[in-house]
Amino acid sequence: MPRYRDDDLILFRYGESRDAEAIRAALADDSELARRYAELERLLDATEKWPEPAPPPGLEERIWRRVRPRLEVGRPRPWWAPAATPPWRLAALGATGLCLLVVAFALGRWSGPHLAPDELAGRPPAAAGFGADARERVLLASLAGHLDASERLLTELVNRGEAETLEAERELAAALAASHRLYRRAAARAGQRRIVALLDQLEPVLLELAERPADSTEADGARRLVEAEDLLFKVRIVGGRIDPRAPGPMSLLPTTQL
Amino acid sequence: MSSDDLAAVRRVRAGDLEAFEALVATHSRSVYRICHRILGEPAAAEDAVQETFLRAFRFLGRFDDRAELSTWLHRIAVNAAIDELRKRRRHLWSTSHASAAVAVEESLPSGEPSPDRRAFSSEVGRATAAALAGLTPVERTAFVLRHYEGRSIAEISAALGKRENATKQSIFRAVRKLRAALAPLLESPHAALP
Repeated sequence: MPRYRDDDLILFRYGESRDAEAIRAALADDSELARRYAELERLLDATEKWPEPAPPPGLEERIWRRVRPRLEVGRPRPWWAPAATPPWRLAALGATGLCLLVVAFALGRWSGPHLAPDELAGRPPAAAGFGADARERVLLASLAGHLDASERLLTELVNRGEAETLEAERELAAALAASHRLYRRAAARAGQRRIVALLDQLEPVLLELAERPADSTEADGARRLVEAEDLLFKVRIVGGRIDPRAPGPMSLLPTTQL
Repeated sequence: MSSDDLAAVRRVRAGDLEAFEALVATHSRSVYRICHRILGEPAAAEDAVQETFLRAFRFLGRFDDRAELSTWLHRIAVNAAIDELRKRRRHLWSTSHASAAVAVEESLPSGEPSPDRRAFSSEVGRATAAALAGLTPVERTAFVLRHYEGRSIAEISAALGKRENATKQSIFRAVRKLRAALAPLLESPHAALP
């Protein structure tokens, strides 16, 4: 008779054992196994003392009041529209972001040597051109869009059904991967080390997805990377913290959160 | 999927926001229960419910009408709750869960158990809440979904984005930790009281 471990008994208790018949027979014959199983049942029954949470009164109305104002901006696509943002639109968005970056850096160089904030403040706006602050805002605006699209990709990846093909995710990942290195370089030049670290963690996921065949349904590799690095959480937090309109240098996360 | 849900989903896709309100009204309570089990605190659970419906609205275009809407919503809810849990880490559980569990337990109607038995139940409820607080988010979520929500390991794996073997290991670790926390109570003389 095989010796059953506690893990086997747990699966049996939950009706998930592939060896259920054999375990049932063993429980009838083996008093020591029966004792261990009774102990396990007692433990799991005891955890039922933790009562089921009762939804608070007015929950539905409260949730609807909180959700309703945020629905207009994100109306779901009609059924005939493609499930994911079309690649041409992503490419156009990416190209716009890159153009903004290139223009900002070019104007930064054109405006001459870097000026100290107090020197810049003393100049008329037209003469100041695009200073360091303006360049950083352009970078942040583009980066926020990049992280927002990346968050959408990771959310879809985590919530997708096992049988769905990766076509939409692959296209989105390819569009994001095309500009990813440039964002990383720009963030590095701006001295945003934590954002650089995040982009370094994100890149393998984008490449892994972008290189999958269009009809593939297997995304375990990319999911593992997302899971291992808590990537969706980090992207959401960093993306949510970027506010290009905020004055002064960008607020950075504490190291512990990345 | 129920015909009411299906009709509402189609109306939402056509731009009818009131139909989405009907879906919120129908599914909020079950989504809340899952989120609360995972997060252990009412305010955090409500935040996760809100996030669940926002994500559902955003991805409704991708929802397969042949699937069960409640299953799909619950999968989103699990992810929303895990995200919320990671955001808040253990602060919630360590500060409020044990007392919340006791408060809920004390508000339950009495089944006429003896005072000793009631004290024991309360003690076990508290210890369970405390032990669950010591689990990692994935261990806690896997155990809650298997034990309290009756989800299969395959469903839990899909919701967590993990392989079935990894989900099983999470459940095994959760049970081991619960055993370590509850064993002293279960061996006490009160455990055998009527």
